[in-house]
Amino acid sequence: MKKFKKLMKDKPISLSSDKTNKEIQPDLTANIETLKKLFEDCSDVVFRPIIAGELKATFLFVDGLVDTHSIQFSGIHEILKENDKEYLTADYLMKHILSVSSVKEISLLDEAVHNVLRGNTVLLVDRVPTGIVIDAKGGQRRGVTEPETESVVRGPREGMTESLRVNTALVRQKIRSNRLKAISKEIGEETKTGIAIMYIEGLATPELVKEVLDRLDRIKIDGILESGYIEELIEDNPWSVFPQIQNTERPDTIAANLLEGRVAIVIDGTPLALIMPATFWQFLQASEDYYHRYHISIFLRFLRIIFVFIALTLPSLYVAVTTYHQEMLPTNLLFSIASSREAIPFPAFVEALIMEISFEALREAGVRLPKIVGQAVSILGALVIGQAAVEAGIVSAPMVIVVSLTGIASFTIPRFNMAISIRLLRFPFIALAGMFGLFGIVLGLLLIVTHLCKMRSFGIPYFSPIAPLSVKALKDVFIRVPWWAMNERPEQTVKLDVTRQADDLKPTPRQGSEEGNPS
Amino acid sequence: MSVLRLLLTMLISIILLTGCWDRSEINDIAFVVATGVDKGEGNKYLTSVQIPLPSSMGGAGSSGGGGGTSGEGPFLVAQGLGGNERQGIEEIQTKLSRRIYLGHRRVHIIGESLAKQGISKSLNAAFTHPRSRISSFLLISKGDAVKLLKAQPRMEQYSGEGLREMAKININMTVRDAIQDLNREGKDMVIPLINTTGTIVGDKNGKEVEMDEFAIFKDDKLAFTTNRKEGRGILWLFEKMSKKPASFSVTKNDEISVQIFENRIKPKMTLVNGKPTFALSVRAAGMLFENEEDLRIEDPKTYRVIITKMEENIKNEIQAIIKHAHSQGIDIFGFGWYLFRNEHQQWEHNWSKNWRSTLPDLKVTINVDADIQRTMNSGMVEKE
Repeated sequence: MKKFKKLMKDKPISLSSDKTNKEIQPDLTANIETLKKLFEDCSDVVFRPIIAGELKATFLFVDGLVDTHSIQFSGIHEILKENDKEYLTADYLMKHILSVSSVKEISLLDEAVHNVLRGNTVLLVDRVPTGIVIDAKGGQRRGVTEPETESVVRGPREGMTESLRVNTALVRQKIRSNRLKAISKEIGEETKTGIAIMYIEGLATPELVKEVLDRLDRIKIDGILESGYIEELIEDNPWSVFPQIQNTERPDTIAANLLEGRVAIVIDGTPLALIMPATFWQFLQASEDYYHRYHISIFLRFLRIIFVFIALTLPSLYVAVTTYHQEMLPTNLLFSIASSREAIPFPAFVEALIMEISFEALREAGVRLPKIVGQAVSILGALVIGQAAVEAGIVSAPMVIVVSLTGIASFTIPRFNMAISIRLLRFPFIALAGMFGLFGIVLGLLLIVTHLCKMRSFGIPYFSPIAPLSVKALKDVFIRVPWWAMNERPEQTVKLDVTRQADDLKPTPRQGSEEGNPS
Repeated sequence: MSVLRLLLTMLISIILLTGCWDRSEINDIAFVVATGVDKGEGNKYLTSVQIPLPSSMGGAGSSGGGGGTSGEGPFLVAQGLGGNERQGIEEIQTKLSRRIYLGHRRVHIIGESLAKQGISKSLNAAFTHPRSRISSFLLISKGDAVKLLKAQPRMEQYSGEGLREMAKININMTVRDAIQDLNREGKDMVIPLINTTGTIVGDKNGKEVEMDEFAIFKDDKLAFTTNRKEGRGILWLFEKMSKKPASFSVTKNDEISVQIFENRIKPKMTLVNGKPTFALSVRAAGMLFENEEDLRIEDPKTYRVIITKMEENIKNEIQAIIKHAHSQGIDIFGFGWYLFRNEHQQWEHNWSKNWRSTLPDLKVTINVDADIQRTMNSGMVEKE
């Protein structure tokens, strides 16, 4: 173990960084030569030389990343019109000629490379010792569509896309406040993935924001392709099966969490943003809880908690009770189980494992398969696992019911990453039940609860507000109080500005006013 | 490294040293639903068990459903002889491929001959066994207990289930109650008596079971069995008449039936010349079910007459059993237990010693307050 750790430590960090550190020369051809060497064999990088009278210039961009239309008409076209000038300063070009909204002056070749790779266009002009960055990003990106993993009956239909700018804009459209900050960062030596750390100043504690930034700064990696990379690199307890950072592709979920003083990390190239800190209970809440009427939300939250328990322990309870504690079952139920188990060749433990594993396989097959084939798989699975196995006497009918109920239960958990954690923990529970019966299940639950109580996510106890108990915050855990009673922001996250709304929002017949008072 | 090795050792030893090996699959267990004890030869006991057969009970995946009409039902009755009940069960075990499991015993039947000899040993055996439930119902069988276990009521798959249902709506006597009564001063056991019967009158060697009499115990020995009238008196005394019908005649040939929905008993004790006398106030309320004579129950006078008859009838039934029991020195209601709790000093010093001999002279007055609170139809009234 020690050796292993040492090996890990001593390994030198060898991340490529071939910086030239060269300044942009007044000589255009020299610059172009250097750049061409850097972009050797990059067939998508375009060098577009133009000559307007005495004036020589080169546009440099990556084909497919830029909006060629605006480069063509606001850049190339405008400069070609200036064919009477002998010499142009960068300043003059920016102020009088280039008719695009965002331009910038740079002096290093590295900066030119940097900008070209991010979809900007660099204009180099002969006899000018600086370059001009024209921000005319374009390229193909998926449009805003309905989020597929978090669809709702009531609530906004727009989901985030793979484009960082679109995503931040979607959040900005929800929160039109100058207090909404979006610090941008770049992670990944090769991918140079852009990320934005969003929070609301005054709600999120500065310590939290600083902690998030610090943890992000620690990341030295070649590439970030998905939010999962960052999640695993910054979470508090990397060994835990429980997710400690929430992810979502709904801008409204992000906005709601920002309003509760949390921090979101939006990552370019993925529609999933990360929200931190997260507590255990957060994963049992859906955004719709806050949109539907509170009665049904309360009912659903209780239902979910019951079904989390079922998803975690039902197969193991079945195994434990049928192999160790037969006296616990009502006699008639016992006989109907006994009569259906009569022909089964396996012990209940093995039976449970067979069924659970084949259910998981079926689910996995359904996820990966093309949609058209998926249907065939589900029919096959339902027939084979559900009916034929029972009729053939391989598994008993009660076990099929238990497994399918467990499957349904695991799908009631709104957050997928929590659902898979719970699903995974089911297997050790079955093993514990097969070995020690109910005693094993209790032991397992104790371990899990201890683990949950021990964990923290960005300074917040993971199991709060249950442990440590905060009675005030219970208004939004098992129940969801109506909006007119949700007067304060959650005290775990928001330390500074607790008041969310006026405290007399409960709609009542108006008292003492001239109109509308029938009494 | 050492921590990892320690954890690994612990994990492996936990799995290998404990658990798992005392598991028992449902298919390896014989679930006993009813047991019976009879007097065997000499000083021995004949223990019998009733075990439903899962394979012929007709669950999904198992072969065949229960064919009740011909031959044997979907259950097994086995008998074993032994010096005590446990030995009897051990002997049965030698004949069975599955382990006998008493955790689901719901009915315990004691044969008449054994009951006459004393049942405290049998109760003790049921109480001591860790897996046996003391909430099993206790029943006394007329004749041998095994006969009841072998009975095949058509309504249920095995007689144990039927007996349980019947015992539940009867006086609800469990092993625990019996043990309590046995250990209480001034209270004797009353246990339902069961017998085999047929569903049709005159069908003597029937396969059904009936439960309409009671076995009255003196200490742990069967003293006498009640007749029908006394049986009803017991139901009134034990407040178990609700949802049962009470019929009585108002005029010579015609009867009225009342479905009882309220039945309460309240004893009251007064001392007359230093001797306790009891007054039992009985409250009964019911709903008119049958009115053979078409009596106009709305008429206050007629109603009064009917009620008086009803009260008389109830009083007679209660009195019959109390008289019979007290004449033999048996305290079925637990007047002595009442005194034990309420007049403990006097009970200890004066009464407890020869309570049984004072019982025949114990004065018990019964006041019945009956009511017919609802009628569906008060009877056809011919128009004049």
